[in-house]
Amino acid sequence: MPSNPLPAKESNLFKRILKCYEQKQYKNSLKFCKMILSNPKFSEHGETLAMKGLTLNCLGKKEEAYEYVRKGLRNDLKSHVCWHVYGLLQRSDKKYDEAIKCYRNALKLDKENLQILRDLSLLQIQMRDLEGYRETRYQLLQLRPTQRASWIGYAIAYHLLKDYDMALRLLEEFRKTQQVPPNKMDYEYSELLLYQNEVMREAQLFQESLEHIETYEKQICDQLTVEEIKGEMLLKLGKLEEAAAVYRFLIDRNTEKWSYYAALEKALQPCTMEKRLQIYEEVGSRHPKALSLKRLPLNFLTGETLRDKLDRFLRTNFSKGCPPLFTTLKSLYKNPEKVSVMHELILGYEASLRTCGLFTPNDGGEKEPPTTLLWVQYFLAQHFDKLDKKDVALEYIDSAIESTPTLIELYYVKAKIYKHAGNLQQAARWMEEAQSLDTADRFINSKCAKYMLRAGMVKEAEEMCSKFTREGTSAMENLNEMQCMWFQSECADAYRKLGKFGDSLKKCHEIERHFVEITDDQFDFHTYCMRKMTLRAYVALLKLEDVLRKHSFYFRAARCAIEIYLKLHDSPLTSETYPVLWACTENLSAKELKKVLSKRRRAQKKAKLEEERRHAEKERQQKNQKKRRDEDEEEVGGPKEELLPEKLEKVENPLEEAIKFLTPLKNLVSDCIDTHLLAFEIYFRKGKFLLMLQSVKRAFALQADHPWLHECLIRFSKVVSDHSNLNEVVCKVLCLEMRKIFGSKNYETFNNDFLKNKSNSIEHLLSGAKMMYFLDNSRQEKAIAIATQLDERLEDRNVETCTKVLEALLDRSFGSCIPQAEGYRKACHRLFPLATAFTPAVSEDDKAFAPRNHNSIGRDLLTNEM
Amino acid sequence: MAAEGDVDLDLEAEENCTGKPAEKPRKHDSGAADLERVTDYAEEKEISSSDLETAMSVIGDRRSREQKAKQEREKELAKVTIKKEDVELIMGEMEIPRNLAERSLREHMGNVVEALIALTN
Repeated sequence: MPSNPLPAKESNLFKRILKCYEQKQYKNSLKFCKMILSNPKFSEHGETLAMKGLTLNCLGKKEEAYEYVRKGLRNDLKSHVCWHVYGLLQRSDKKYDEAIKCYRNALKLDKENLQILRDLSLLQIQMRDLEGYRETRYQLLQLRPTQRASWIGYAIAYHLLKDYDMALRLLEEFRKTQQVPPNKMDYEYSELLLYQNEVMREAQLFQESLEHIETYEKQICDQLTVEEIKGEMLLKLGKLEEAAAVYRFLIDRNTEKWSYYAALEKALQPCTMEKRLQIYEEVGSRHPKALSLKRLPLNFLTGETLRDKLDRFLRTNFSKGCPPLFTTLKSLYKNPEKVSVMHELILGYEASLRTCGLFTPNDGGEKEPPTTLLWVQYFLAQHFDKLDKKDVALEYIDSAIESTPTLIELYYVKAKIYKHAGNLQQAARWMEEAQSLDTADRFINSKCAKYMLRAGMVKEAEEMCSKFTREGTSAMENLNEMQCMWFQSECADAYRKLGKFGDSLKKCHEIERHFVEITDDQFDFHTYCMRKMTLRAYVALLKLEDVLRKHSFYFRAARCAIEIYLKLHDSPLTSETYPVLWACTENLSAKELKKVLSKRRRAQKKAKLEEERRHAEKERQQKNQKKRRDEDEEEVGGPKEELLPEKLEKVENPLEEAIKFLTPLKNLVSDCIDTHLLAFEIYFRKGKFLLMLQSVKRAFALQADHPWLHECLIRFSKVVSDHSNLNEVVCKVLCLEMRKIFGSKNYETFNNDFLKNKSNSIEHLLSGAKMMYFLDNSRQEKAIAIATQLDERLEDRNVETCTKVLEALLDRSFGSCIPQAEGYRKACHRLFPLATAFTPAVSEDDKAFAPRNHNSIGRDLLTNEM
Repeated sequence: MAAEGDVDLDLEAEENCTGKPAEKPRKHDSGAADLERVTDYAEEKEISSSDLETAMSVIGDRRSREQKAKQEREKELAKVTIKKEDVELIMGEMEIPRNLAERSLREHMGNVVEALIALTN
């Protein structure tokens, strides 16, 4: 209890402070605080001081806020208000654990304080302390059984704990208290019903769900969802005829939703291909314009019917000029029969269109417009690119460009072909060409920036993006503000490839912060959603946030950061010589090295000046913003520590930093083998044997013959056998568990068997060969011979894997072997003439520029002619 | 005590008011304003029904059963004797906090090898 109760007048003022705070009238709140505190009798009044601090916090004055709140608490340690306020302050500062402690202290002083219990429950759900949340919710229900939120919150707690039975009982009791006349629509009631139904379905209570939805159908606003639920439940219950009727109805509503067709097929169970096709034709008779029912049968048709349908499909789309046609059909490329039918048909069209302007010489139809040939060539370019015949693909795209040099799509595809062929510089140049044809198109602008980043042109990419970012800030900063993560993760990869680890880490950390922010953003919705009864959306949000870091944006950033941290651990940056080391120029002379270094120093100096200038600029902007914010009376989060590339790359404990990125992956992306292999690499360097074991066990369960895993296994068993002084228990666990993986084999035979079993895959051979050399340096020659095989029977002979082999030859995985590497490079260059990874370094620039100039001149001429 | 009860951040005073605050007219182009409102303070809505007793009793039964089961499990686990050095070994090797290490050891009846094998799965 407050040690110093206020008299009536001041007590009233204090109440008004609270009211103003709740209604975000912070200025008024401060006024009332002043009125109390200016009275010398109450100038040290704890609760008022605390409230003043809390209000100041909302006005962005964090330091003052802490000062006042702490002072208030010191003056009145027995007041639950002071503790509560301190908790709120910590909460706004994202120190959730601390905040929970404060709330608990406050509750000790006032056990039944609703507001504190509510605030505590918010923190518990935010931190996913579900048991605690249920407990707090129980107390709230006991104290206020007449409040809607009490019931819903308690039910949600059970739902999240997967105790569906109890959740449903609570929801039903609650539903009964809602007096909504039947046949009357009430949005909140409707949402409650749908939420109830969702819990039933999650609990696998299909019959109940169906009956429920049929009973309350009339009172649910979202009729589409009602029908979808009905269809799904009927299917689950095996009531196929009724299900088919529901899905027919749904298809009539929306003919382009693929999942409806899949469900309809499930309901009708066609036993032959013809019957299956009939389903689509039947729908087609009612919806002649629907696209999906023309495309979907191509997935399952074979033989003559396939040829016939594909022929019709292709002709319509070519005549019409449909740019995404290839994308639409791309999934068919998994099936060789379909590829060969398409191949024949389209090559036939091309020949015929060129000679007589018809799809086939004697089909008596009308003459096709000239654009038809263009789209056919456009398709063929993508077709041959997909079939890995880059030279043919380029021929087609070039002749298409020749006929219509103003069509952006053509340059876009040309860039793509170069990218797939392994020439990222050319790809970026052609994408820039595409971009220059329409500078107001944001899609092509972003694509171009992405291609530039792939080619390592970070600055150019930033400039490209700046055409669409806000003026006044740098594009980099603006893109960060907008959480533009594709750009940031491409940037991180680009910097890493350039050896700028600090910059790359900065991007990774920026992405990580976005994810923290997204997690924090859910806070406001805990109360809002319950108030608005949008429970389905709320639970979906919670489930999304639970697995948020599963997202590939996070995975990519984490992977990039972890790999860099591993490198920084293996060879920390001690002096400024580092980038040279990373640029893998083993054979630079001393003089050259000096030259590179001084050049770098100059560049660094320049960059530093630039950085300082930018910093000053930023500060000025921040000041301005702050001013504005003060006027707005808006809430602000605490400022974050600035990410400095120099500091990031000189990190003291890179492995610990790597683990920070790893932990969410281990919890959320445990079904991806890379997670465990990255984990292994970290624990290997930390010398944590059982955690290494954990990583390989988990990876082994996912894909036992993964090449990287194989390397991990050999290295692991070698390091175990090299350590004789391991703890007895650890030793026992390792023995027991490793036998499950290795059987009775030693690592030599294990490696030999691996090479034997996987002799048709370059990636596997590379891993096996690396390990052969690792285990026995004297077998260098044999190992290199295995790794550098290039014959045709190898199923993964492509630019990517061959680049990996070349990198391994250069990074001393096989010791010193410059001549062999050079030989391998030449052999690959013959196989993949377009890939820059295999071209001799000197001629690269000349070659890259030549065709471009030639072509753009040609284009100008043509445009003039038109 | 009563006087101070009003002074805290509790909303009891407001709960006596009936009816909800008037909804502002919704505009379709006011996404930002809607977002702003997410953090607004709002009254709790009340259930008018008085017959909540049966429902409450259902909950009470269920909860006491739950707690009993939980307590029994905890009691059982607490009976298992575990060695301090085993706990520390698990903490160090698996990089997990003490409470988790202790729990897994207890769940495996104090057998450190089994506990570790389970943790590496």
